[in-house]
Amino acid sequence: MLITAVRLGKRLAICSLSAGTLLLASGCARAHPHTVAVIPEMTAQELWEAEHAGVASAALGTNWEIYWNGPGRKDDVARQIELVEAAIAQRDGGLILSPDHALALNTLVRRAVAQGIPTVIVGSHLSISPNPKLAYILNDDEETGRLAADRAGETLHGMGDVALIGSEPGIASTFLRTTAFRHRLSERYPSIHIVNELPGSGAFDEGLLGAQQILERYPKLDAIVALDTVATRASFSALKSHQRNNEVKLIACDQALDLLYYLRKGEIDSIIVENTFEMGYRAMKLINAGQRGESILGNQLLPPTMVTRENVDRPDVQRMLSMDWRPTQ
Amino acid sequence: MKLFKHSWNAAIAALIGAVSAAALLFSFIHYIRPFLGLPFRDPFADGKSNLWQPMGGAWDLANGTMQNHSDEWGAKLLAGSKYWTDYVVEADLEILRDYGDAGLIVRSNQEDRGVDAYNGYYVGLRSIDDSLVIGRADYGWMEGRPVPMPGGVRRLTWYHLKVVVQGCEIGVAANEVGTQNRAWTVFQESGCVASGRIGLRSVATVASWRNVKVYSVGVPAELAAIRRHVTEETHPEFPKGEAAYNSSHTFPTYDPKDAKFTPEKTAAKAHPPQPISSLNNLPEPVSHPVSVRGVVTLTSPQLYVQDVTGGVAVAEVNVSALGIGDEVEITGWPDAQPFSTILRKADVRLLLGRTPPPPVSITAAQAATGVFEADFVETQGYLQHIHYESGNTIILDLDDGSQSFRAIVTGGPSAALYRKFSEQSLLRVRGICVLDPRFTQNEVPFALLLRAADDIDVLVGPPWWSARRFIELTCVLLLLLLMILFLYVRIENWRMKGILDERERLALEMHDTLAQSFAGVGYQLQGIRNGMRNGPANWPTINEQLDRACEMVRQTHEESSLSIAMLKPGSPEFGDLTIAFERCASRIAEGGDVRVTVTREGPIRALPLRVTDTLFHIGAEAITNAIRHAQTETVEVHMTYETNAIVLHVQDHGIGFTAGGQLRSHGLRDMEHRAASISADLHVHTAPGEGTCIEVVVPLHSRKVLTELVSHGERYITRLAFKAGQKLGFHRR
Repeated sequence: MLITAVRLGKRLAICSLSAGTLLLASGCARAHPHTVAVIPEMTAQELWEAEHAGVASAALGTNWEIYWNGPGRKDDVARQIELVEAAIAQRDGGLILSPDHALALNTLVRRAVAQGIPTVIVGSHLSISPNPKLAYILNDDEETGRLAADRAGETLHGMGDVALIGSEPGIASTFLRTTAFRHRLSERYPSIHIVNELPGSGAFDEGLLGAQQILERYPKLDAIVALDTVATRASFSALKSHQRNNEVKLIACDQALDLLYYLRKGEIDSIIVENTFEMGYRAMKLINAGQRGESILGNQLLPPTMVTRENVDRPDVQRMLSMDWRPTQ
Repeated sequence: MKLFKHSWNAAIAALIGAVSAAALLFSFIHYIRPFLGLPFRDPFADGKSNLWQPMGGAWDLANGTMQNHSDEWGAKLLAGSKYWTDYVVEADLEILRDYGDAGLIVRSNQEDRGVDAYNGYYVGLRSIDDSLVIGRADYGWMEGRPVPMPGGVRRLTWYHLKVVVQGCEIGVAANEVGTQNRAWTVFQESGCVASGRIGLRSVATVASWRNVKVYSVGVPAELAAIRRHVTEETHPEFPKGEAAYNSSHTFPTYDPKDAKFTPEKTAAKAHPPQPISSLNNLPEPVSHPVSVRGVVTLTSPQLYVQDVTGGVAVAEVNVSALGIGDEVEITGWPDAQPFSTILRKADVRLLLGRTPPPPVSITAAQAATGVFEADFVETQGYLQHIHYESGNTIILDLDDGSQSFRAIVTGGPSAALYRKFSEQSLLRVRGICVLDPRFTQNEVPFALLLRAADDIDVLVGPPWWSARRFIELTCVLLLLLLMILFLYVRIENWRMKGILDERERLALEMHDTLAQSFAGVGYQLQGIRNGMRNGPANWPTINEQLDRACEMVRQTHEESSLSIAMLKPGSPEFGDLTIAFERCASRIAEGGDVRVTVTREGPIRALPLRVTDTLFHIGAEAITNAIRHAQTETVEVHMTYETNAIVLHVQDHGIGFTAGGQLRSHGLRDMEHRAASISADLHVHTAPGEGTCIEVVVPLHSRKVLTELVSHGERYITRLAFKAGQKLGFHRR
């Protein structure tokens, strides 16, 4: 009887061990070491589709699989957090993130880096120092502000009233643009006055209402500087509805197809374009280096470009505006 | 043995049959799955549309329409099979805003929440450029050339879309219901997505769909009918570059004459808006309607609006054109309730599209006080039970330890979504906090009205040791135990059968050798006795008979000793046939001139006892024959241990004989019988004057080896157990 019990016990132990190993193996999450999660501020926007194109272009000929997804609205920080959490949980091979908020993504980015995921922050700065697993490729937002001020100074011949629309709390890029714009105006164009600063909310309707109120309150306004695409659309719509688009110059920041269409028609004075294509391209190259175990430590600032009707068809400008996320060569 | 053989054959036949049946079934399913579920029709009439899976949005069934009450970019509602290939999808759709677009998804795969987060095709009506648009999505968007929609794409207007997918072509026909405004397009992509689900999708607008149907009959004819109206096919080409796109596209002018895009200006009101929280402090009786301004937080089962001071319910109002996140101005008659006020007979004016406010995070105890009545809140609790009520209402009973409450979802598209939530899970739910007895049934202090399944997050799954899990585990363990017992009994049976077989063989062996030898000795002794009884002793004859008897006894003794040595673990012969052959040869050749060499090739392996014993007897017989009859000077014995076989060669260089001739001896036949008993092949290579070679090839079947190893393993474990028992003093001899 004892012998039988020992035999049974021995076999049961082996079976339990095997079953336990199987359960353990099946319980572990599957890693995606060849997937790079690219999470922009928002999708279906030309500004970020150009980043998609840059990433796809750099990934050509490699074995990387690109997972491109992001929130539908710039203020949907919760959705962006969900996507980053999923990328970390799936142990993706790399993360390229354009944060929607200066603080809300910090913890997750730290977590990704702690897990050894090469991470590149594109677009807006976070308050985490670069390290061998974390790099920044940013638009030089201060230069954007300076370019906008110079354009205002040029078109207004150094004198006039401007309104600044779209500075969003929590978005470092618009804060830097605003500060640099103010500084350059006071430094070089003291006769140009900022008569109103309307904060942005990411909502078109709200921006439109605000722009209309500014136009009604300042009948002699000379220019509007719109700090992002939503603010530009709202300002453009308000100018058209008040039939003042010929007298008020609209200087825009960040590209979109419809805004470039109006630029070509002469209804928008100029657009200061971010080189998000190059940002995506460089970010993907860094992820590739990070996967090989190389340090990706760095903080790159890419200069923006002032686009007007005169230079919009230049090849270097058109390359910046490429949205071909299905490149073939 | 026969029975075992038959059952083995039957098992193999059954296995082949099962595999064939499975292959047939798989082929059949593979063939029919592109048509499974077709035709598909959902009139959204019965309010029980469980076939749809939402990805974003706030979906609601009402009056035979499926409505998305959210202006989320790329909200999707999916249905059908990913195996559907060629089919026609038809639906009516209505856009409820001045901008955005709405339409149908075809051949959709790998869906996720996100604007273009699916792999498939989208066909829609876009109000911003009044066009019929088609394109390819793959977590990105590549559009074909848009087709202008005659009459434009206007809000609160029903359009009919027919999408035909065949091969890598998609034909689309769109028309404004009740008019002659029609548009067609044909889209073609090489390396297209070959199959996938269908879906409803809207971008940046509240929209409605009705009369959705999918069918696979007459697809080529439907496509041909559309192609007749189209001169040039379009391909996924935009937007690649800005210059190309803007050279062929237009955008709205935003000119004042374009009323579609003129924002509604705020006019001075007779009753200016007041904070929502102030509605609870109005003097009675109220002599005039009041106005509030806020953001829509819920549209079904009742409209709720919230500003920074709080929320309010609005009754008796048409909400069809409203979406969650809309900023509205509401003018209505306040109706004071115990914890809040309801605005009745209200007039709603849509102002702006805004981002829905985030929920206020509170505890269930705080919610129960009524302070947060009509507010958008977030709280958490353990799921107790889910009820599926009529009218697609799902009620989740929750408890956070201090308070029990309910979470209610009304009119959602699919009850199946909620089955993933397990009882005793810790859930975080977001919704409008209500104390209205219509929702609480006076059984719980408050209820939360949720917008969709997305408003539920699982924070912690159910505890592992639930009663159900325990029963399941017990059943699995019992099953495992039964399987082990079954296996144990089977192995014991195999072992016992092996022992009995071996015992029977040994009995036969003894009968063939010992019994016959004793009979021979007895015969010699009986001859001596008869000779002495019948007359004077013939001593030469008696001596001869005694010598024969002694020789027989000696031979029998030696054979028996070797046989026993072969079977006795620990003896040198056990497991090593070469030693046994050396001993056997030296005994037979003793006193003669014949030289016997025994060699081996390959590592010695554990062989079944039956095989070892039989091989030994065949070899011994062959050596004996060679020494006694072959007139040879040398005999070579060679053992080869191959992977799947054991080969024995016994070679002499004597006189040989004619194979198959008269000299075929009894010993040779005996060797053949022995070889046959272990399924071995025995070959005799000989010719007169050329010596003789006996070759025995024993194939080693895996089953034989396995059985033997199991038997050895059993013996080993038994010995271990026995020794352990002895050490512990459990065994009493």
